[in-house]
Amino acid sequence: MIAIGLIISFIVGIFLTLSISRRLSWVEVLGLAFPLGIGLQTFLIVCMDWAGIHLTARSVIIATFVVIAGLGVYLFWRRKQVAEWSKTLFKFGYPTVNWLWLLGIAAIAVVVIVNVTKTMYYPTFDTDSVRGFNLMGMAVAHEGTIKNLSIFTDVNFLPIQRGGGSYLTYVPLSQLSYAYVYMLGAETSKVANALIFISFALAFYGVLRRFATPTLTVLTTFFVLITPEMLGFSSMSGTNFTHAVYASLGILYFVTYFYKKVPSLLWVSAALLMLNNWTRSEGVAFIGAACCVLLWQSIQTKQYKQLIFFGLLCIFPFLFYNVFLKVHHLESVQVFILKPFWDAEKMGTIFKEVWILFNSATFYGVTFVLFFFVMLSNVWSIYKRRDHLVTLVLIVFSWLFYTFLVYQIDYIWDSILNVLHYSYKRFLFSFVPLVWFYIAVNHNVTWVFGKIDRFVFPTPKKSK
Amino acid sequence: MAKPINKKPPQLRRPQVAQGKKVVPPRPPQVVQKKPATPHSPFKQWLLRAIGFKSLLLAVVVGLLLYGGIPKNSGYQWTFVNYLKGNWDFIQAHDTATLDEIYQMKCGFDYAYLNYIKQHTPDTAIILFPLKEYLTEKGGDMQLSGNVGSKMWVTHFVYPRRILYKDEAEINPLYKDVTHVAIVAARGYEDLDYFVQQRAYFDIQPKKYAK
Repeated sequence: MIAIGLIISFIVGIFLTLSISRRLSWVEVLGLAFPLGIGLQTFLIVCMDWAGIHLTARSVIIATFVVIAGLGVYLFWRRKQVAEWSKTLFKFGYPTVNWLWLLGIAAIAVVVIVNVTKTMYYPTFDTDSVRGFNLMGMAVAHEGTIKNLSIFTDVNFLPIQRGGGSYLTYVPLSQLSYAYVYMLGAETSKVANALIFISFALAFYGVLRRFATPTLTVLTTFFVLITPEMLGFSSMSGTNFTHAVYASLGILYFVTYFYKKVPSLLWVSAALLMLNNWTRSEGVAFIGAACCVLLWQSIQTKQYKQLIFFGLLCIFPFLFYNVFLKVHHLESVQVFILKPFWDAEKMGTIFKEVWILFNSATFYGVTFVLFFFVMLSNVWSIYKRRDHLVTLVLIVFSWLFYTFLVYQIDYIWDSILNVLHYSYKRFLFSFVPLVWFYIAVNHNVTWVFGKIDRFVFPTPKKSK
Repeated sequence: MAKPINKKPPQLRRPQVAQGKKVVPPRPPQVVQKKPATPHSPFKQWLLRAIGFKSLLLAVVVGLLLYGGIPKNSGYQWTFVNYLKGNWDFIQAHDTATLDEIYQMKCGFDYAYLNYIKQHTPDTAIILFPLKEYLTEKGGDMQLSGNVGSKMWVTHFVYPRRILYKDEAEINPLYKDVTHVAIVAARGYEDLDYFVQQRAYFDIQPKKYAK
């Protein structure tokens, strides 16, 4: 039952991915299928609960089949494009054997296999998940409801849920993906985390491959996956790694749309950024950064429809869930300060701690240090050729927006230092793939790897 | 004025006899026809590239660089030695462990005690825990961790049973409906409606005496 349920998630994901774009490689489709599929299913679960349908494995699977049928009709209508895309699946020639690429793939396979084994071996034990995300998943699967869930509505839990930092305020993608796995009869929910990790490795490789040589792509993917703190957290049930997957891939598809001029990739980006905001509320920082770039583009072209539609689409899940909570009287204390203010001490504390995090080899390896070094070495190309300026703008703006959100929070349930040491540290996971992407695609590194590739695989001269 | 056209007469390519000598015409350049190279089959071409030494050399160099460089970074050292190798070795050594055993490895006595409560109470039970300040007291050789002070954390392990702490006696309406009392470090016996003679440090007892 568990395998069938997860295959259904995968199928709905493939249908959804292909409905949005037929300009993706098969590696990308495989990588995006589960994240988009399970994201869609969690959205369906909330809709079903709102409609008063009891949540069980059977009801969720039936609803998923209805969506698959709808998407199937759309894909049948677009069958010529789907047939064109499917031809790419069977294009096989004699591949050029690149030993470095093979070495990289072997290393990635080892990391993925060991991490997935570790993820599946241990049940949920990290504190945040035990008392929040996983507990909600278990309870939804057991009680078949969200709006009347005992841990939200029971008098025994009201003081906890109505207070600041309540798990009630967390948008529900991870929790409901665990609920779905529990509904299918699993003993633990960790298979969802394992599949997200595998999907991320595939999707990141796929999107970076559009910009970089196979050798560079495989090395960069390897370095992203071995980022110490991120790898450690990917095997736990927290929401941070899942959020990093949606946020970073959303931004990377936005970059791909911008530089490769493939309109459908903007909607792949929108779907991922929607789910980024459906996993953690602060994901709005990435939506804000993407909207800034799109606004700049809209001002130049004087076309604003795309910007408005993109912005509304990305923010929709967050608004939808908040309306859902409000309608069902599931409210907690607001910890966000809505009016602007200036507190130099608070700002100083934030930047001091953030600087320590950026320099931490223990948490992020060489990621951020190498990024600063590469960015500095590329200043001339940025100035002269605007080399991946949009990628840099997206990274910096997302970071600034998130830091601003951290600054605007009223720390009534925890100290700011704790939030910086733990939450902020984990939020930076979203930047790890983005930063490595920039390291791989900037002018200098591309030039060096182009030379290496031409040295190793000289292009045969064409005979006249 | 137009220049007069001063064209040279075309030279004849005929053996000319001048002053009684025979002029040997230049030999036409010899075109050496090379033998056409034997075309390799696509598989042979691939095989030739496959054993490309440049690619192999690069892989060896990069592999050695990573092997030598990665341990110098404390974070990556942790990734490979502690995380990947450490976890793999541990899992191989304990691959037959049950879910309960793994939980106990991670959560220690907390899990053992909460699982005991779960096994000895009905799903509808409302369980009273002692005051939070006493939860981490030692009882014999055993002691609970601070996590047991979190209602949500405890609920995860005993769900769907409901729990409350004695601290909530005044504010929680469930207090009057308590069905069981969790005995922690021998505290909690005073909340039972009956007297227990054989007392354990950690136990679960029904609030009212069951015949």
